[in-house]
Amino acid sequence: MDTLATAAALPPNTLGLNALLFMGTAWACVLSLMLWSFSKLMATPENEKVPPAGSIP
Amino acid sequence: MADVAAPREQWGSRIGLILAMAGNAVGLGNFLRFPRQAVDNGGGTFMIPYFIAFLLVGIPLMWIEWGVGRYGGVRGQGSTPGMFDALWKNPVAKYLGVLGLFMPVIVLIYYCYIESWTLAWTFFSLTGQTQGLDQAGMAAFFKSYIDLENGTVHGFWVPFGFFFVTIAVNFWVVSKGLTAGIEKLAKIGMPILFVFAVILVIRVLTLDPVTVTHDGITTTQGPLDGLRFMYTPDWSALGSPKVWLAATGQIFFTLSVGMGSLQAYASYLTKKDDLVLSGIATAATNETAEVVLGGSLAIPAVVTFFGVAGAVAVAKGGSFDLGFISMPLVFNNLPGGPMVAAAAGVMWFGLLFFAGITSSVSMATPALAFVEENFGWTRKRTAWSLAAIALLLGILHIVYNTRGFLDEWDYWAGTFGLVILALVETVIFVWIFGPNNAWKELHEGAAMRIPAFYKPIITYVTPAFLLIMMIWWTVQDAIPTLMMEGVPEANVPVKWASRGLMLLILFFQIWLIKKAWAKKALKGGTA
Repeated sequence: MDTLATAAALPPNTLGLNALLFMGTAWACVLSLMLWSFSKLMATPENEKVPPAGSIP
Repeated sequence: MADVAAPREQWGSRIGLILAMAGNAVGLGNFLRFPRQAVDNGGGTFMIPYFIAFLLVGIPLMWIEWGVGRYGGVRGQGSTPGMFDALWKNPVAKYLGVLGLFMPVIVLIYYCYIESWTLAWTFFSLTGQTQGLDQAGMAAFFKSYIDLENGTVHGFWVPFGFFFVTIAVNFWVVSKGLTAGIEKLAKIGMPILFVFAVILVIRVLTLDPVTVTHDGITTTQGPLDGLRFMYTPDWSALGSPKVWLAATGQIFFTLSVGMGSLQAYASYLTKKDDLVLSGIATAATNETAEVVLGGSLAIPAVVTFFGVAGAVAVAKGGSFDLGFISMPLVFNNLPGGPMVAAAAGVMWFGLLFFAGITSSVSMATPALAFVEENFGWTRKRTAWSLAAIALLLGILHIVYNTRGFLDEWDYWAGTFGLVILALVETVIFVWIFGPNNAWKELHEGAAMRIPAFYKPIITYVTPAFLLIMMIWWTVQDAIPTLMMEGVPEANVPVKWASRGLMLLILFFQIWLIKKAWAKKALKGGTA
């Protein structure tokens, strides 16, 4: 990783586009998965069952 | 063995279960190991194999372990010997299950020792003992604690005292039972952990840039430079098998799979409980703690105050140097003086302590369940007996820490053994129990369906990943570690003693399994 060279080319305390894209995507993935799973859990009664495997819902 | 067992304790609520499961997964590695792995393995590009491994290995293993655990639990089996025996009617199955008893006990003992460091540093931060120290002073402060032969700063008994308190707190919690002990701890500890982490992340990311000189080079860096250092992609890393295995290994460790503890927790679920969505929620909570919080703390803070070159030097020193030497130095440099330094130190080490204890109590659960269910001991009696064993064996870690005693346990049980158990349980659950039976078991009480493409992933891709990882680690690390390559001559006897003790514990547990099944046979079950 050519971080030192990259650092020299940018003003101090700058994230940079590449790093921003990777960090933003990673954050978005985990946060959206967590929010989606918890919102779905909250919307599902604790003991609700799905139809048996192979059946038509 | 009878298929329907006496009613077992159950989780009090779904949120309590998820917090306990997530607490099991969120550990010291989320805050100390992950950022180092990302920096060492391609920065931003590390996240590509990391997420692929999460989807192909992490999530499937999470479901498999929940499925194995619940299947055993509804048949009165809270540990892997009984779970494997229920899934595979073969006399060998229960003995393979010893891995799920052995690993958590071994890891629990040395993990509690490391956890006791976080408790000690919370106390040292509160009392200002880490303030006013420079880098050399902070390093001496840490080394003196972990190396009794170099106990120039701390009193000889200090590490023993904090270890004793840590063991007592852990086993007090587990002795209270599932809902009154473990679930309550998760409901208190996990929110505290997240609040502390969020406060620290906000503080770190709003730091002003600092001008530092490292090796004669003066640079001005801020926290965003730290994030750039961590996330700037190195595309060449994607072609390296080492990076892919490092990412898979990180997913493995961070989700606490292959340990035996997730199965033990899942054994307290009923057939009506969902495990598909709850498994995803647990994994996602852990990933948020790791990627969003863990990735935004240590590296940005260290880069701000030591520069990128300084951070590289710190990272080479290891995760513990990062957590116990560099972070207190960062806190000492925070604007606001000693009060702010103390508060930040308490929050950092406090969150590490809660991350640790919510994991260590889960490691005690399989052994507790095994003894309670097979020998009729009470929870309290089992908990305090195991506490006494952990205390006695933990003393060896304190005394011989710098001689490699702990490293042996960490490698064979805490690293290599995890892949073996994960592979064994995947083969038993998916291949021997059968993919259709496994699929059906996972969907019992499920709040959502698992996408159909996951069936071939669970059946073929996950075991293939595990097999590759095991072969790679065997060639890369296990053989050199076994042959003690590069180990100083003076440490060789200590390492052999460490291995001998591990084997003794393993054989003792195999003997206990034999005895338990003989007892069952006498009562009219099948051995």
